[in-house]
Amino acid sequence: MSLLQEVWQAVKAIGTGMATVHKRVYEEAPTEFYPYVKPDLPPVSVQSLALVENEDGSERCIVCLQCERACPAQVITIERHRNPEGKGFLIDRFDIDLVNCMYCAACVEACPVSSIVTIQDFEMSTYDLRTLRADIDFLHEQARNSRQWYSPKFGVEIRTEDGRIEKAPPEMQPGGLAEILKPAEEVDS
Amino acid sequence: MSQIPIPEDRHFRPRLFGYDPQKSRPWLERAVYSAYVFVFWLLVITTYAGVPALFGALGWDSGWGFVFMRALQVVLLFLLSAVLALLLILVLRKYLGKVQERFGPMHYGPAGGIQTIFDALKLLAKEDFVPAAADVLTFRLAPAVTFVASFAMFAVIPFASGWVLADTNVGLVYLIAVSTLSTYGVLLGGVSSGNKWALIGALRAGAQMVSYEIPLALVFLTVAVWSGTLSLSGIVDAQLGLWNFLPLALPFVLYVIASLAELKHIPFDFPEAESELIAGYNVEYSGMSFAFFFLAEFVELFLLPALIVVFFFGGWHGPLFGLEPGSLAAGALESLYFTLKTAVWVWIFLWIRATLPRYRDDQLMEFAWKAMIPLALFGLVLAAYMRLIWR
Repeated sequence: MSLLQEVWQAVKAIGTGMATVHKRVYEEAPTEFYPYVKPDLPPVSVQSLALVENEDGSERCIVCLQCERACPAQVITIERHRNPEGKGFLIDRFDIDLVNCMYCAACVEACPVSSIVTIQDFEMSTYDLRTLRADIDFLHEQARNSRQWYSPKFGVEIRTEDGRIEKAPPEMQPGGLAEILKPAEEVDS
Repeated sequence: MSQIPIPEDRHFRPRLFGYDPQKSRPWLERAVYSAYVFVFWLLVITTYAGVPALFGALGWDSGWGFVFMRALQVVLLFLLSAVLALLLILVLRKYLGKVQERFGPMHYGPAGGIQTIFDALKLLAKEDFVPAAADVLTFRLAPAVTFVASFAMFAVIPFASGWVLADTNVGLVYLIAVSTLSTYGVLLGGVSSGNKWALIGALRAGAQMVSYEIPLALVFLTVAVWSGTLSLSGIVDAQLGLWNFLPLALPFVLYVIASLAELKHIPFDFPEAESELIAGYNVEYSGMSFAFFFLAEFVELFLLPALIVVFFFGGWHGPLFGLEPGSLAAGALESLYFTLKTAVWVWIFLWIRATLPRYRDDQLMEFAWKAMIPLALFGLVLAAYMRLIWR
């Protein structure tokens, strides 16, 4: 290759590079404005845990201790006593150490009544780690503050404007459920 | 176990100061830049027309009065270079952000417009630290030498016809002398820091200066031969019909490359290569000492494109729309043309900075000695020949 060809190739490469750079100026930046705009998370995103109550405020949890047994990090502590009037158990203590929790959601999979669920609130940052040793009131509060939550048994559930708890429509469900259900509905109609 | 209450500011949101980041508003950015350029332009007019008119009206334009007038003009130029640095740092950060598909500064002022003022305030408030291993006198002297050497180039820059501090007939020689001096500041600062990276950066600056100064001087000589004068105003006047970048295309390209090296600008930023030497020669500096190195760098980022405009793009020349040459309005318009032409060249320099990678310093030396000097000599001979034939 002659010297002139080399020079021409260098000039051409620099020109191509500068043209590419100039095109970038007009492209939209993919920046997310997180603190001001919350990101649109997928329905199944294990950001934090919550304990759901029924619509009438009664406990959904039946205190079967399945989550305590399933927890690989052993951060769930439950104490219970027998219900004196009727069957079942009542909760004395329900603590989750959210500092040592690794958010594997094994407790959510184990729960037979979808009481313990995953929620989308990921803003758990705090100046005091003791605030993350969650007791039952904190877990109830987490559920009350969230508009939707997920458990494998019931899928995505939403809290409507008037405080009722409903199963979310198929569009909000994970795993392309809407696409699976669509042909069946068409066949029915 | 009792739950400790969650603090109120758990969901902390920084303040936005009235700017909605979701909306892309390029006109707002342009308005901010235009405001800075307008302030710059007003300062130029005040320095070169307002102050002499004031002193002339007071009858102080001779003897000590003349000295005071020049001193006031220099103070205004210092203010002007501060505005320049604020603007150029802002534009650099916003432009690099755009190129890298992100936003630059955007939280303080409209579209991030006063971010650099806050940066300057931060540097003012910072401790001016001297390392134990440093040679204190030289360490203190180096930023001043660098800044003064860059700032002194303002003396011969013609902003409009007659708008120049010292219209000497050896302007080019003065430029070569002064622009070489700023490398001394870098060398002194690097060597006196008592730091390995700073030392390597300083040595690289010296080695780089030996390479690019010779083609730079040869290009100056070519321009002088073609224009028949060493005065910068004379060079601009000689380009009334034809701008120099057409007949002197080869020296023009060499000048752009050499001024990139003089600016310590990518692709030739070896003295402060961030990824290799952290920050090179200024690694030990903090506070206002560092700010003066920075100020010098960005004053040069204005002055070297300004010299490109003076040498090759007709300086202040442009359509005057029937204004009488030499009047205040004509001078203001001419200085606006000069500023805008320079702004275009600053943008091209930033564009190059955003595009190219960094070369090795031995590659620059090889390129300068084996390619640029022969080409500059060829351009010089060609210019002399063309001058003999056509003029």
